[in-house]
Amino acid sequence: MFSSDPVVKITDASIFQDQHTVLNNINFEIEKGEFVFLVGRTGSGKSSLLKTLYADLPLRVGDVKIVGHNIRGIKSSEIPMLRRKLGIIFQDFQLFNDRTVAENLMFVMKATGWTDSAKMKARLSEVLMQVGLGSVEKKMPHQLSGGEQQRIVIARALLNEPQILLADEPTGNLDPDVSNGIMRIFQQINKSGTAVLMATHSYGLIKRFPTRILKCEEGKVFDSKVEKFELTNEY
Amino acid sequence: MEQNRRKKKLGGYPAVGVVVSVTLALFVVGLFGLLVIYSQQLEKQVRENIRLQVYLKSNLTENQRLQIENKLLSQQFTSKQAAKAVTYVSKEQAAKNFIAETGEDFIKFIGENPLKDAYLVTIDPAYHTKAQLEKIKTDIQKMNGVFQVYYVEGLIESVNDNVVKIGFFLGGLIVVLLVTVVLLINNTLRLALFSQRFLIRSMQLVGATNWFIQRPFIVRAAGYGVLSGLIASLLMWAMSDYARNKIIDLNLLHNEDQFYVLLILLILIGVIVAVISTFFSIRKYLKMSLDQLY
Repeated sequence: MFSSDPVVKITDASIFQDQHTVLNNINFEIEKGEFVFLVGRTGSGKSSLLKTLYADLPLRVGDVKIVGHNIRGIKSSEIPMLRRKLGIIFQDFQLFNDRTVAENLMFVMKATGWTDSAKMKARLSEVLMQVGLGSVEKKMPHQLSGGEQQRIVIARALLNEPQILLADEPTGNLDPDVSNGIMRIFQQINKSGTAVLMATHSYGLIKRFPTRILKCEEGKVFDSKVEKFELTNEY
Repeated sequence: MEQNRRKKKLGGYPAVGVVVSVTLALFVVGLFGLLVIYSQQLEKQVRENIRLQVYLKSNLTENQRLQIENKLLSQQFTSKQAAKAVTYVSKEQAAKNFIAETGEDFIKFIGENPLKDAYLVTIDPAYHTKAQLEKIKTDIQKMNGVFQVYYVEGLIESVNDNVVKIGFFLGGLIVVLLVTVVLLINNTLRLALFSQRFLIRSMQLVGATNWFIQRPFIVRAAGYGVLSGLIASLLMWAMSDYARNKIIDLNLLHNEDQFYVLLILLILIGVIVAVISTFFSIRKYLKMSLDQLY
């Protein structure tokens, strides 16, 4: 594909929540295989930015190009195709508690157009190995720990080999040890060439895994690649 | 057990509740449909009994009489549906009938039979207006050998009046009822689907197409529609059977063909309303943003 094109390219975009502007005049790019943190206080527009990227929030001003799709004026029939190229991980998007891990993942594959059951099974073991949980296929989500559940969620996001993972607080409710484990999985995935955009509150996490940071504050997005800024403890 | 749990969650919405309310709604529609059929049959029978009495002149030959009969039969206004549109009543027959009804032997009294031979002509309902009947009356009166034409004017007018009134009444009720039923079914399914909104949401997030998400719901809704229609039809059939056993006269109004068409209609209405409601309810959730879902 367009190997040199950035995975995400945002030009002069503004993001609205209802009638209010949350973020103004955003400009940044995420290259293939890049790892980027997205920080900012609650209500600073992190989530809205992510939602705009997966076309859940309509983009009204500016241009966003992500994995080859233009978000501005995207047709509703095109949205599923866009989302298949993204890995979406966020708190409201949990596993289905009424079926096993394998069924959860199979369901996603069926919903996204997989038909060959041999290939589906192969892919299923592959992603579970990637998140280091080879033997939980037959378990129900509630039989797993919080960290394990989160890893399954990551595995689910990986199913369609996305070019970028969009993660909103993936370590939100987890203790530091487990968080570190999850972060290492993200790093591994990132090393194999998948870009990651991760929103987080955790100052500790940013300290432990230094990389490029985007900060949402007072309606603007600051980019650590472009300018230096202070990170406070309060996220 | 796992299987059961899955069904409960994915089949998710309260199947029994949906089927029961849709069934009841359809049953009411069915009852009403039956009422419409019966009133139509009643009107038809009343109209078939509206007959023009054509009295013939005395001293007609058999041939002349048959000519008149053929002429009457070939007229446009003569009913094509009625079993015997033109019936001959000879004056002897008329006298017998009269004596049987009154118990008074007027022939002995008068010394001869003063009655005339007559034809009873059933008129096509399309000609059941006062003006047309008047015209038909004068037309027949002009025929050779016809002595006099007579019909009960008041009866036709009151039938016409009542048919219009009943038609308005039934028509109004049908509209109200259909709207109610559609709203009821729509609401039931909408409530039921409310519990599925996060499942729908999750499917959207992984990149399932709208059709993939809608298909199982629509198939299920169609199934519930058929099931409800069948149960409602069965109830209708049982009720109608019982009623006709208890009230024998109802059989006069009962029309098997129309009744079965009605039952099939119930099933169709069930399916169509369920499918369309489901389609639109899901579409509503498909278009909602996450914040609106909560």
